[in-house]
Amino acid sequence: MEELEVMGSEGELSSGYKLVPWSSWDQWDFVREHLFSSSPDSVAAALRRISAWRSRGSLPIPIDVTAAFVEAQQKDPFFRKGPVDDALTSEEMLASLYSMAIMRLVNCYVEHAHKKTGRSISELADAVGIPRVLVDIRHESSHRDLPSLRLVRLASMKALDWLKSNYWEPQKNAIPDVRVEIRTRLREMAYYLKIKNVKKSSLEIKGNRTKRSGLLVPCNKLSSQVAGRLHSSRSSGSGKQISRTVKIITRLYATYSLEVVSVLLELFQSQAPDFFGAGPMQHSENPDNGDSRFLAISNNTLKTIITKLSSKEPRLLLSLLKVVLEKIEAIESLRSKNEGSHVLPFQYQTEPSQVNHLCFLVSWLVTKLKASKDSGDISLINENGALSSDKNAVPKFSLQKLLRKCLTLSFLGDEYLADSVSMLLDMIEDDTQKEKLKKLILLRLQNWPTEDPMLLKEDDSIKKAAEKLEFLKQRLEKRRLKNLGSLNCDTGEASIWTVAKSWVPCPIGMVPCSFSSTAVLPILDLVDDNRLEEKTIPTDDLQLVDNHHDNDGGDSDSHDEPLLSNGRAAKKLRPSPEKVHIINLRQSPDPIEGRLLINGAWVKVSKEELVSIVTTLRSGV
Amino acid sequence: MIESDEMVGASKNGMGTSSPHVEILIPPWWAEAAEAIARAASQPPVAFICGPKNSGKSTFSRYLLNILLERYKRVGYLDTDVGQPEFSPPGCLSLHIIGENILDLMNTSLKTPERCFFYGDISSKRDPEAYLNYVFNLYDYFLKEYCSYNETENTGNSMPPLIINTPGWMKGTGFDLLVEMLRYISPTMVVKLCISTRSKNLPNGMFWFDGEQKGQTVVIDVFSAQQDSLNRSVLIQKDVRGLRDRRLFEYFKQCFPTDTNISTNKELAYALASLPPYILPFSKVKVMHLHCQVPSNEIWHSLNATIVGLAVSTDGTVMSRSTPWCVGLGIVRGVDVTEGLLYVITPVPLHYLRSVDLLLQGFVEVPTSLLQVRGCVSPYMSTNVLHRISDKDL
Repeated sequence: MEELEVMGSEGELSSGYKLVPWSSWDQWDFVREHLFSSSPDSVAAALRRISAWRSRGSLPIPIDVTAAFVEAQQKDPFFRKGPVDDALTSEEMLASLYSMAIMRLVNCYVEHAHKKTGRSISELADAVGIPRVLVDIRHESSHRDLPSLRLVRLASMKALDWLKSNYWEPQKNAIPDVRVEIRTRLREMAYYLKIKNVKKSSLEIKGNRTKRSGLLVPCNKLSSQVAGRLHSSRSSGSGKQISRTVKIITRLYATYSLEVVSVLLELFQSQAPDFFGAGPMQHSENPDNGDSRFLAISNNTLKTIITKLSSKEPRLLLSLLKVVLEKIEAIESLRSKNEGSHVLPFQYQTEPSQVNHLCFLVSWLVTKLKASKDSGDISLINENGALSSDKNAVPKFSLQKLLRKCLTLSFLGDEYLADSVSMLLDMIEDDTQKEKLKKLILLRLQNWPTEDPMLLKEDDSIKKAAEKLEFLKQRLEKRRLKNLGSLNCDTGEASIWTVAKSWVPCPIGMVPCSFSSTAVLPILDLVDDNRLEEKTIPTDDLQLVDNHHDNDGGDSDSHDEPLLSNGRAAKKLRPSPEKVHIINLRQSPDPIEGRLLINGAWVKVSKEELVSIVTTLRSGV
Repeated sequence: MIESDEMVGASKNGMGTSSPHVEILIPPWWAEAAEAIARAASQPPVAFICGPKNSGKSTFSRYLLNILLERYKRVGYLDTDVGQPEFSPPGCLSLHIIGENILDLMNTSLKTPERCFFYGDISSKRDPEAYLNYVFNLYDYFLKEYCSYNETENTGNSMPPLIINTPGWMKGTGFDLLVEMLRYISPTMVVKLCISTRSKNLPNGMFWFDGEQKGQTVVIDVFSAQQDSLNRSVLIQKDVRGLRDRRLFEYFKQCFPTDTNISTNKELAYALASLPPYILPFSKVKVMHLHCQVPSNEIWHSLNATIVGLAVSTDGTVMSRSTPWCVGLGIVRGVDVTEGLLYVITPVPLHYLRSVDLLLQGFVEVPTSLLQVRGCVSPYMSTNVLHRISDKDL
């Protein structure tokens, strides 16, 4: 039964837009999963999210009605496990809740057609397969007595089943898979590149052609469309096809930047020499794709693809750099954890080569970045410089953030990373910083610990850390002065309304990523207090940092206000990725309690120093 | 779906207006009625304009405004039609003090209100109590500021006349609201616009009083402007949603200098996406949901990419119910939860914004064509959405 109309054609991500209250299909799926969960807490979370959606005004009626049923069932002792406050819910009240939900369900699906066609409600309900009992209850409760609780309770189950199979399931199946689309497009491009090469070297085409058709046959619908197009356009030249595909991918990147970048990284990782086959690329994930040989896009091809894409969309390089660095960070923090407990020898052995592989990618990307800067594809702008609507303008602080990330990873002692750091420094064109940091790196490379890094070289590291802190402090001071300057203009009275200093065109509802200036979906969740406890540094530390931070702004509020919209809530957040490395270290096992991994040695760090680091990292965003 | 290239707002050359450019002819009976109001009695009139949908309330009000401006320096205009306000964006109730003639009687342009409330919906039905409260507050404000009879320096001569425009909702609660307003305001003139379909008209006489009539008020029945050969009213059907969207376009177009070359919706949408927004720390603002409850930890899911009223919570004037004055609308164009920042676009000048510390969320939707420019499609515009039962199954 296809009762519901899908907006937009299948598989295409371009047409048939409709306003929805969720910012991504992941959000929608979160609600779907939790709404039908057996845990009351999960259900409550879904209902809360739905009430936020309701406030936006574009909530699809099936979701609204489902929420009404689920909420009523949550109040009903018959469904709800555990203690229910019976005093508050009488049978009549429950029956009214159920009846109202049933009335809304029937009306929302049938009323419109009833008015238009004049056919009876029951006839129309029958046509869309709404169970008869629901129609009867609607009639009974609007014209006669309130139906019995037993009846409406039973009907509520039927109604939910109907909603599941007529809204939730079909909608779930209609969700476009962006990653699949991206992968297909990338493979398409790799394929065109291959043809081009083949043509160039004028090898025997015939043999390759048969191989090629083998490539395309097992792909999904979308790819077979591609194949169709391919046959018709073979004569028109693969160069044209390539630029067309580049256009499509950059368009995808405009909306799904994170997905594009992570698929690229995924493809790259699946090529890691010592890591092949054990990579995160799940072949079974795409059964349609058949032979895994064709998933493999060689590193060189991948580089060509990235080069081509970045000539169209230079900021791709920055977003890629960001995820690669984060990946390295993640692997390292996992490793440092495992090191403590001396387990998982397999991972321990494989990871360094993977990290090495990624570091190489970093330096390659930075080289590319430098090239596009030199050729003028990317223009670096100062933070408080003229506002530019130039699509390819990259604020300097983005590079500084990348640099900072590279530096925090420099304890790995990887030469590629060191290269990247110096290249980034060249680009930033700040001589004093450059000199200082170059020395720092040299020092670091010479002093790479040959024995157990733990507790060794503590003095040395502290010296270096002090240097680093000094550098960060200076930047902080500079920034503060700058901020003060901007606040003191006009009347002298600090307004809480300030205009963004730099901005790039960015869809409404998204914010520009501070690394790449590419639009990204903001995280809108606040983390629960109890979850916060286990994941982050102790809360009193956080409070300390935050108050410190706030005082910069000029006025301090008391910090015992738990008011949600009062900013305190904003502090109870999931730490952003760049803070994670500090936080993870703080929660490590006993021997390194109170220490920070600086340049390969676990160094005792006082609270003040930590505060200073965290503040700087934050203010740098 | 709605990627139209229509003109922003209602432009002067008539392009892009909802109906084909109709030459508005003021019928003699309108001119008579307006004259009667303008000449009436010793004190400046308080004229209450009511009548069914599309009967010409707004057009008559505008005409009356021009006529009154011939005799008075300035005229008050209390707008209670939240769906299609005269000089403000949708969702607002406002009091204007107007000193200039309206040139185009068919279209209106936005004006900065004297005082404004953000009701946050396009119909009074969701919260009639708050709605009435806003109307009464605005009227009280007008009396307090402009009609202090007792003060010698502020004589009757300087008191401006007041026009009250009302929504066309006249059934059930809509009628009750009209009655409540009439009783509270007790205008000197009530203009009832009538159409040929009698059942849709308001009852005869001073319908808002039961039983005994209380003098003073003059009721004028005015027939709608256009009629066909059989004396039936020709009602100009309006594309209400389209009008609202255009009004919002026009409003947010004010974010840019008037000489900016923005002529299509698409251009405006792209310009808004590129506009450096205001940055606002969460900690310094409160958020209030006008028509529903939102759990505290879901606030940002609720606010991102929606229209909010920008209001001042600490105004000093203590009202019976919390009724914060609104300085204008804004779009929360992004939220950065990790940094605790809100990004807001608004045409409201900075010197008004300084005091804004309260965001009011209602149900005024961002027009979808503002959210879907190529290359800048909002994440809240989604494809592959199942939305309704198709007609072929029914």
